[in-house]
Amino acid sequence: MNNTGTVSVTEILRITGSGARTLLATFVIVHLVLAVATITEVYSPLVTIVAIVLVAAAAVVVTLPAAEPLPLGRSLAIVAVVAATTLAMDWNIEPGSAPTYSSWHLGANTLVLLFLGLRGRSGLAWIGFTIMAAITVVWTIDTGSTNLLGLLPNQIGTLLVGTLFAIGLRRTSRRITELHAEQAAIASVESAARAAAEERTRQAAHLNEVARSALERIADGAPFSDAERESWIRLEATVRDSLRAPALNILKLTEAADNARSRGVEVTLLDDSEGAATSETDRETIAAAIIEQLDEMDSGRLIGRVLPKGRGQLATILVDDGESTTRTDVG
Amino acid sequence: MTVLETTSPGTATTRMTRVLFVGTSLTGLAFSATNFSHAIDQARFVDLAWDTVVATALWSVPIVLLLLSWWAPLATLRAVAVAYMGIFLLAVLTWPFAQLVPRIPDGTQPWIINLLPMAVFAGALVLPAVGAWISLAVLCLAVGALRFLADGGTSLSIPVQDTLFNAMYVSLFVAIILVTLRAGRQRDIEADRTANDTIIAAAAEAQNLERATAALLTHDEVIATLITAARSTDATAAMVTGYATRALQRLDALAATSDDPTSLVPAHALVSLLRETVGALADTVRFHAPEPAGILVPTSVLRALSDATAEAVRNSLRHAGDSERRVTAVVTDTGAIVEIVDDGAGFDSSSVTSERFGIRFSIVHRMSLVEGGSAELDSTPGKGTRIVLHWMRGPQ
Repeated sequence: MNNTGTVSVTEILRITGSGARTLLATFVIVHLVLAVATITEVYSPLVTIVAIVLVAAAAVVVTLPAAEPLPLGRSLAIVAVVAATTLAMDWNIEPGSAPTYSSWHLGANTLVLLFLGLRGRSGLAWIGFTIMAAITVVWTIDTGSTNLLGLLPNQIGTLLVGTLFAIGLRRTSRRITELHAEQAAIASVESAARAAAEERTRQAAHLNEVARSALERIADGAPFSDAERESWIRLEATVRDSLRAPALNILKLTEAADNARSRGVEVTLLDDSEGAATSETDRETIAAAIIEQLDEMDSGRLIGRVLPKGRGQLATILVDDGESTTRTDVG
Repeated sequence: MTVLETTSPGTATTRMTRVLFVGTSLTGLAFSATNFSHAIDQARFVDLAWDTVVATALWSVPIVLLLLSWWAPLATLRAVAVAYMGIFLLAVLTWPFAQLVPRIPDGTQPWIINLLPMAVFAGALVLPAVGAWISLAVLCLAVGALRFLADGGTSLSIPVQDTLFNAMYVSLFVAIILVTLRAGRQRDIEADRTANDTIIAAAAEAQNLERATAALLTHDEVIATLITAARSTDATAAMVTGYATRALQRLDALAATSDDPTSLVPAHALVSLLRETVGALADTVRFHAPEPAGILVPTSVLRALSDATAEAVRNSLRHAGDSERRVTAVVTDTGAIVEIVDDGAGFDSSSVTSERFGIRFSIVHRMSLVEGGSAELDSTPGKGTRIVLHWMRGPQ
């Protein structure tokens, strides 16, 4: 498929690639050899030379890089070459002699037309073939020789197979693209469902561990004690930490922050890394640094902040003890 | 329920190979047909029994191969192709012994030579690349030798020209076959790579959405309950109890959806989950849902509706541009309907492109996996998109 969403046989078969140029050279050389080998069997060697040059040129044009379908001008030029060389070469051959490769042009033109069809001009390819066949029929009537007419069925077979192959390849390629997209879509739906279920389990377990007992206590409707109210304020702060600073959701730090809050320390944990992959080691380093500060505090305020990626440091810790503010860079 | 075509690894390789087998058998049939009269003409110059056996074999194998090409295992197709190569080579090697005249009178080539392309193509389909080219050379040389012998063994000129032309002619097609097979393999590799990237991205996206959904639940239910409880008075105690009960139900729903899909959760948990899911994706989407009371829904339905709604909103955010978006959810005794509407760019829903596979799989297919679930899509270019998710409760 190209970027317009259409299937390009030219791209699939690499018709314009280096391998194709090797085959093109082989095509030209073999037909040159055949033309030279039978040069004594034609009326005019000059006509043969001009014809071989024209057919070689058409073969070059049909393998030149271009969007598919091949541009109309080039395609018509190829059909014109087929018509002109057939017209010139048919009447250049002596009628009635045993069939030889002096009629090389019919096979050569058919192969050029086959490639024209592969490049998205099947209609013009068959128009070109019809012209070639019509000229040969006229030659047959004119000369009374069936030598060339007998060669046409094989050429029809070649072009027919080529045309059907191009159609089959386009349809199959389109279907393959759809199937691959469906496979990817099914796999991603399944993968997303799996990842979502795993994450849901993690989140449910975390929330249950952190908040269920408190919620059940609140739901039972019995009067609340002051200690309970205070513990819920601290729990709310812990839960809020887990939202604001998911990278610092580490049990040791959660406990240290809760203890500090119980001593009257105002703790704020922030994560500005926006989910950037802070490694496990980095997270442990940051947590250890914050815990160290928290354990020394009995009052005041601490703000621990995981920095965005690319800041040089991993995190900053601001401690305000009421008299001065100190800043510690981590990492 | 949407029926998905089963695919296996190597989809492109397999399909491209089948196309080539069809092309090869058509080549055999075409050249058999166009040379039929030629073969009949030459029957008088060769042993009749030999000719009959060879003609029957060489003309029937392409028919068999064509009939098998679209469905038979590739190993079977390869076996048939090898059989054709063997029969052809045997026919070429034994023709000189079966020929009844020293030289075919009209100077034409033995009719079996016209079937060279199919034999060479068969070789290209069953052998590795080097083997394909060697087999091409061997067959062309064998055919050249036959041409020489059938013509009385007096002149090398025509056999050499024949061999040159045949080799050039079949080389073009062998190159096409080998390039097509390679293209198939390449496309499978690229598809695997793309699928892996898509899978990883989809998993990360789903994980992020779950985190965001849980974060909203935490914020809206858990934190709100804890603060309200901590600051509550006697007058608000009943309300706080209600908050806590509701938060616990939401936690239960979250836990249940990750375990047992047949368990039942209150319908308001569904509405809350939809609200949280939509809110986690964008805060500009209007959400409306009458609060259902006393209704239970299976967790499988809750997940399907939530996942499909998430995909529909995500799809709208990706493709509908700057538009109004609205999600409405209604849960009743008989089922649930979730409608996701935008007035964005819209698209031709009859020609859903590969970029819209999200709709087909994450929405339609996702809903079809739930008993009583379905989804309908209505979109018009320039007039927005409307996706309706249905769940009909089965008999109790």
